[in-house]
Amino acid sequence: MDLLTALLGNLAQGFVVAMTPVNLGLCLVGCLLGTLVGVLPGIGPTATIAMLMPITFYLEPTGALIMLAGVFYGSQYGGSTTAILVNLPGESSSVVTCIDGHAMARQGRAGAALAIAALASLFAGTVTTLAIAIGGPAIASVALLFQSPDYVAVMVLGLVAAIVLAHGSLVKAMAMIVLGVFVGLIGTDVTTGEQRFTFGIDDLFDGVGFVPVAMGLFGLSEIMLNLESRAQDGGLARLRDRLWPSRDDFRRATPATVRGTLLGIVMGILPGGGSTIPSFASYSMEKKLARDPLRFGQGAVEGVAGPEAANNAGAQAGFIPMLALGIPPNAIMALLVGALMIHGIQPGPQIIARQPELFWGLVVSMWIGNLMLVVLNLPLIGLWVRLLQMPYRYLYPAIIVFCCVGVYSLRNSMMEVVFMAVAGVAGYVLRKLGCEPAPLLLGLILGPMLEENFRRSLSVSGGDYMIFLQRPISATLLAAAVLLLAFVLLPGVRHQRERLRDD
Amino acid sequence: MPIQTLVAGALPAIVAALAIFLQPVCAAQPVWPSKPVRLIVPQSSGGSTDLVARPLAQQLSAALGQTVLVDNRPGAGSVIGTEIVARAAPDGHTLLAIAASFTATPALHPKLSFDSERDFAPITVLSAFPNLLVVHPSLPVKSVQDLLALARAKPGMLNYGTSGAATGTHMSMERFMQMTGTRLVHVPYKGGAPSVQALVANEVQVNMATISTALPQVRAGRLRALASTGARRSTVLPELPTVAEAGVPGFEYASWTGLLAPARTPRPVIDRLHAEAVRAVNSPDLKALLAIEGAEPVGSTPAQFAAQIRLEIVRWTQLVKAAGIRAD
Repeated sequence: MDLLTALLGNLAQGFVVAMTPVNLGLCLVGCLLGTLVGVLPGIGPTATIAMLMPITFYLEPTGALIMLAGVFYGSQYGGSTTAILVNLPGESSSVVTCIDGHAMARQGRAGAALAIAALASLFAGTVTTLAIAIGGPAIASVALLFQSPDYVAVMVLGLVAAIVLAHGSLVKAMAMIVLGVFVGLIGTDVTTGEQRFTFGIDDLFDGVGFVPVAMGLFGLSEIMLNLESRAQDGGLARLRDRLWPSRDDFRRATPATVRGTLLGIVMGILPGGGSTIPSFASYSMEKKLARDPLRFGQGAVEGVAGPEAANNAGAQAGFIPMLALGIPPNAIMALLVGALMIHGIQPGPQIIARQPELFWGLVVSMWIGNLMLVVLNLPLIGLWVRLLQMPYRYLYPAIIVFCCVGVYSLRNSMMEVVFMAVAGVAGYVLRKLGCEPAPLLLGLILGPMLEENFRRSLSVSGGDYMIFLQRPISATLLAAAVLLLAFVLLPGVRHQRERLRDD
Repeated sequence: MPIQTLVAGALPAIVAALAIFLQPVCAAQPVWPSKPVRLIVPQSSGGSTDLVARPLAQQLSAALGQTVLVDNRPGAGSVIGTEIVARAAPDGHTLLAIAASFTATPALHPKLSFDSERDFAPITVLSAFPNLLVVHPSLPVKSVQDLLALARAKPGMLNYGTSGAATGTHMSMERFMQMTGTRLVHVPYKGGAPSVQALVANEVQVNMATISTALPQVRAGRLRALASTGARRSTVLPELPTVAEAGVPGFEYASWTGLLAPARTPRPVIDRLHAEAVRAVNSPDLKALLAIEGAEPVGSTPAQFAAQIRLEIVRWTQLVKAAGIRAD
């Protein structure tokens, strides 16, 4: 009872802070900007927050954080828009949304997909906000239970699950994962500082970025394929009678949303988790759980709802370790730590006690922001869908220009644009060969993290491989990976998949 | 923030903006700066160098009557942004704000396209900050001497985390081991935050972490600080001894942020920038900001800065050879 009273008191304080006209305005500005950068491919929240940092010098710290946070979770909403409409992930976390979201759009159900994405995000945002409010510090301590061997187990499970991502040939899916891991090897070796496969090119020292590869593999190759098929102008948006999801859509999407949210919260608080990996994980899980996994890739609504909930939950859960531990789990949170430090606030374990108005104001503003985003996004759906009827000769050059600007802004470097172009051509060739890009991207994210943590585990254990089986978390996860692998390789499942491919 | 501060803060920016518009009208304008000045930060926005560079740029804008734009060019361990400045026209319109890794880079990357000494005109060291020697609280050591005793009793048993191979946290620890004849196992992480998190989680036992990342954890009792690495005690933890005081005489490591221009930038421009930068880092605003990070303003002369760069390059080259570290 006391806990509840305390919680209500805290939330009340949060509402007082978040509902001031200035902070409401900043929240709205942040959400609007976030939606915009989310919709624009390539321009991500990291670059936007970096650009906005100087402006926040002039704001109160709470207001500054409210606005910057709005940009981040707002972009998670916006990112799904282009993914669904033109198969171009607006954010890296909406890569998986492309798969079934765009398939839905091709069937004339773009409106339903967009609405499901927005509502799933709202649900995830609300639950995550509550989770932060109730158990922020307790949840944060979970992150401290994870050590390198446990990460290795998470990655192994993730890579095995990645096979499930694909809806065609198993062999090709595995080949794509391995290719992704190989591309991930490029760059500076974390353990020794040695350069690998960089050929003396400075821009390769930090490895090949995820965003340019995702833009190229999905967006550019999609454009090439469409041009080749000489599809009718505006043929993408064959509008059917309704923009709103059907009752059946809701029935299928609801459990997926709940699962995606939980997955997002758990993975979002882990370092390096962010919002991308949870979205992949959620997709794999939904496909695995579905009674008829064959629908995935053909416009399954669960494949939109789950990942969209997961990426929004993951984005917001990242605030937990940043605020409660003072340890930013990803690049964006590191930026926000910087923004707070400019104002003389050092995030850390004591921030909730010392700056309650900042913490609770932010928590409440995140919920208000999520609400704003849905109110903002639902009426826009009709407009977005209409945008697709724009003739290709205007639409495609515009998309390519935005992609180039966005990818350039990642590091203010032309090389990123070149990487995107190369990835675009590669994506075209791969898709012609019947290979899907999603497993490749997952390999690219997980491969380097797997290697880094694997070698670190062995450094820590003095070369003893048993470390992976001695820790309960890693042992459990590895066992799950083995079971999953066995299941995937079962003859029955394989035959079913191959039959599908031959159809 | 009170409204006065808001106005006071916005004013320089407005003045700077006006200055750009009015420029063609002004007949007697100085030769330099004749256009906005680019301050290259070869780090992402929000990093420790960026945190100093942005308020510095704001104050320089007001003082010079020209906008000073921060241009983040991260990548390849600061090499990409540094290279841009090395190749820029030496007219005072391109500047470099950089971290202490500047002097370690030549030792680590023998094939650099620029010469860290010859291609730059040092202006001043803006700020300096020590690292903290921190251990997990469960480790039965209360002092540097305890740590050395434990490390000598069980060589190769303790693990130390760093922000990555060949970063300041790694180099300072290598030097510590070299001077004390101890051997701890190096476990690199991707950045300071994960390495400190791993220490809090007791995956590694020791870290010579940057003060800004370690301080909040020390204050919360999640980490135990044994010593600071600077020549003098840190102003934010004055009760904490330096490593040298605690039993490793001669040990000193301080990270810094410096301001440089391309070589052959005219002397008057360097002098003017030096004067303005020193004034900026000693302003109450920047001093307060630096204090949060555990850093202090420096403001050394161009000659002192040049000498420091020369000395550090020699020192790092020797250490890298002795320890067999490579980044290339």
